[in-house]
Amino acid sequence: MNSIAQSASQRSLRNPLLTLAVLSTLAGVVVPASAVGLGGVTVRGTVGGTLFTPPVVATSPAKGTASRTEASVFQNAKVCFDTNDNGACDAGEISVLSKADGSFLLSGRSAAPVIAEVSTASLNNGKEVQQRMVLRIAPEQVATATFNPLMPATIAITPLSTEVVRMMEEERLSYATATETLASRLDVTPAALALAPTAMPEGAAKHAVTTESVILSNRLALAAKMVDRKDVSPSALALNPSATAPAISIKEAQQAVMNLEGIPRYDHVFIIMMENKATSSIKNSVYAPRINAYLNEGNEFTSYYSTGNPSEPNRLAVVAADDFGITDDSAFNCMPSGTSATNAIEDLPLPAGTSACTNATNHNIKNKPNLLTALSARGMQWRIYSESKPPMGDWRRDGTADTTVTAPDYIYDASEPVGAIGTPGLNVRLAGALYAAKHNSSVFFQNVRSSPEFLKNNRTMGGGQWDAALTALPDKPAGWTVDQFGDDLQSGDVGQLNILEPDQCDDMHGVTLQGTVGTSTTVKAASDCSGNALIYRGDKYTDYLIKKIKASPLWNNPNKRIAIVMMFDEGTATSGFNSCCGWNTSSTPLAVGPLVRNPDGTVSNETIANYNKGNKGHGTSIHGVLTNQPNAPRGVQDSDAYSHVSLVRTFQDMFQLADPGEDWSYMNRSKYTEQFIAANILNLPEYAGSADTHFDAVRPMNHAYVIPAGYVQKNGYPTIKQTGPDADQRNGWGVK
Amino acid sequence: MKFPLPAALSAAALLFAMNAQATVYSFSYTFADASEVHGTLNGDAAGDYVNNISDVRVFFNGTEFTGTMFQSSYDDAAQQFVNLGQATLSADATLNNFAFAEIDPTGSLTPDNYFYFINGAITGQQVFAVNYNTGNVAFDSPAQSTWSLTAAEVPEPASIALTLGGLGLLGVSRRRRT
Repeated sequence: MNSIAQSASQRSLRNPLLTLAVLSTLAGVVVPASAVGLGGVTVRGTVGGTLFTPPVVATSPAKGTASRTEASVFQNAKVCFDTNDNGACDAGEISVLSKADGSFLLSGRSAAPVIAEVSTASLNNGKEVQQRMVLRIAPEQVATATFNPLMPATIAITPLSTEVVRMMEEERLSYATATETLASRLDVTPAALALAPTAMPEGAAKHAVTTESVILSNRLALAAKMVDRKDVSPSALALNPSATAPAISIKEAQQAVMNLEGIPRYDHVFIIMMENKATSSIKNSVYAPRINAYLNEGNEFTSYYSTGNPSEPNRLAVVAADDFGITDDSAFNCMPSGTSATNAIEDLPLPAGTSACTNATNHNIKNKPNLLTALSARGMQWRIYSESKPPMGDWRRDGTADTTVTAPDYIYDASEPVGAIGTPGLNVRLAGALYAAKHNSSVFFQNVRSSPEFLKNNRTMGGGQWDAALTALPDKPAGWTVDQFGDDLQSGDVGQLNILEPDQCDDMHGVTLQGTVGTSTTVKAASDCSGNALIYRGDKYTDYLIKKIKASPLWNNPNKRIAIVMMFDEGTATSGFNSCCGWNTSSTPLAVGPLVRNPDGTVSNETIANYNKGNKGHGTSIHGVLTNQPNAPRGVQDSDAYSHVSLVRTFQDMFQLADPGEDWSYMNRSKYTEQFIAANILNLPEYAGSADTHFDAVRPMNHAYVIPAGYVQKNGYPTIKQTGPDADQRNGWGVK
Repeated sequence: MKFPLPAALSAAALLFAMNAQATVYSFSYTFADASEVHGTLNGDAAGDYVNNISDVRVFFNGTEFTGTMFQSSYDDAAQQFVNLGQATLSADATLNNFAFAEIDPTGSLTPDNYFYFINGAITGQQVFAVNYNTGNVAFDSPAQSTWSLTAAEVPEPASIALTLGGLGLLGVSRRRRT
């Protein structure tokens, strides 16, 4: 028995009333104190949490204000003995309001669960609360805090105490196990979870607890919202998808917000973004043995479509579910002539050497929601890790060629699929655009470039051919390291969403890569940045990244949910059904812009120049998911149609950036579900003639849809198209 | 003239009693939330403390605790109320270590109403009163500086003589009537 469990057990034995309270509560029965003859229960403590202030985005990173998280207390929270255990302080249940310092003293005859209702009448560190939430605490935690039955237990009712209860209910865990699991996930001691954040000393533990508290508060607020609007109980819907009653309970809602649309919450996701290979180029390719092994080890989404052509529109779609009409790789400062008034670059000055640029389509996307700003606004983090990025360069501009930065050519022997290739002694020069701004999803959104996080969250990634040479460069910025990713994996300072961008050789894109041998002036091509060797090189680099992640403390803590996505930005198909799932179909009339809801509630199409040319797709490519969860499904083959737009919807669910009860809370085209399209078909004329409404519409990647018998996939590997449903319907993102 | 024997016996008994019985003390405490506890008890002054406590009556927000009050002190190390019948009470709040409860506070059952004032290195200074019958409850940690323990007013020797004089006059007047 661990110390926490032992402590709780001993204290409970000394306190028959609380022991009974624990047992009766666990059994869902409230035993009045009269049943044991006398007395009552008194608890005191604090209703605590965090006050989060989102970042303020100005015109440039330096002018904005970073987000701030502070430990807080709630005043005017209604603390009660929830006698009927319904997650509400009902009339007749003993309750008190917390004071300005968050403290409360609650006394009653009956041993019952203690909850705190934080409402819009409450104050969070003196600030108005915008959305109510219900905080709970395990009876066992109360028992643990009871040193003597005559003395009030001193407790802290917080988002984390609520999470412990939720975990106990979800997995039927003991209090001790739930506490230790959560503590392990956050790298804190179990005792830290019992404290009000305001009572914690400054340090890493407080940072971890307050960060989690912000995330949990958002989810708990959504749970209360579900209850308030009387969403239908998930258990009822499981039995009958058309059920309209009963309404969801707070306990159900607090579970539901951890699994929105069937997408479980993950702590960290690492996307390894490769380049320009159709499924047929990778699947079972002798040049990609490692990727194929990982596909077999994990789960595969076999009908995954890119949304654009070339790279840049796909990078936008991967974080924003729209490419806004962009169909080239032009720089972020490219825009139609005469539109500088509306599209003007705000984060001036432009990177040195940047030329003015006129383009028929605006490439400086303004005021559009995207995953990066959405994560920041809710107390979470994003990272974009880029390989072979020269230390002196600007993230907004391609890396520049440098003939003085060289590295040995990669040598392969005859036993490898590419055969014996490579030139011993060849010093391969650092090519231009090994770091390509077009591959950096953060570059094309003004609100990301201007955010305080832009410079902090763009980081380096090692494992590249020129690591040593770049490290040896003089005059590097202070603190610069060639492999911040490696350091972050060790420290845990990664984002919730991490996009790993290998350089343009390691990502299978390919660039002109040359060098010379010794003092010779004869220029010779490097061994492996083109052709089949390029795939093999990318396969090895993918393997390097996956092994590195798998060796990290993060991955090896099963209490943290970690996933790796292996994917390509685009395939190569230029005809047929190039895309799906929120794509811009070829029907007429074509969309003139994304659907927007106006302040007066009306719906209209925003007009964006050349919008109708975007979101057309570029075929299917492989998309695999690996997780560190020991009980997660393995070998799932999900052939439902998904796209980058689906991926964005999936991440919005995973990180609770949207509310499934509100279509419009999903960003850009990720709201285009079959139901949404049907409801807004007059404003979405491109879908009016849809012959396959499921294929055309967006859904999260949850494998919930059972493909009808006889349905023939629109694409297949290598040419055989699957007919009918999948072998099983397990969720490729599932954790158990 | 007949000697008023009953009156004289009564006076003697009163004097005896006044010499033998413990001092009556009044105590009171006002919590930070303005809840108020007061009461009386009998005890003997012993330095900073009051010993041999008995006949405890406690009123919490005007309502008297039910039952005969049991008393005990608190063992901070063991985190238990101990020493039934031996409360540690002082006019100095920092020396207090007592509980008054309507059932044995050292037992395993929770009383309906009780009041404690303790000082401990682990527990700190706590004052707590609860009446589960009325729902009144108050807690301070640390205590407010409102603790008061005073001996009830005791008759001075002059007033005793005056009483005896009065009793004598009473006896004389009754004799004249007979």
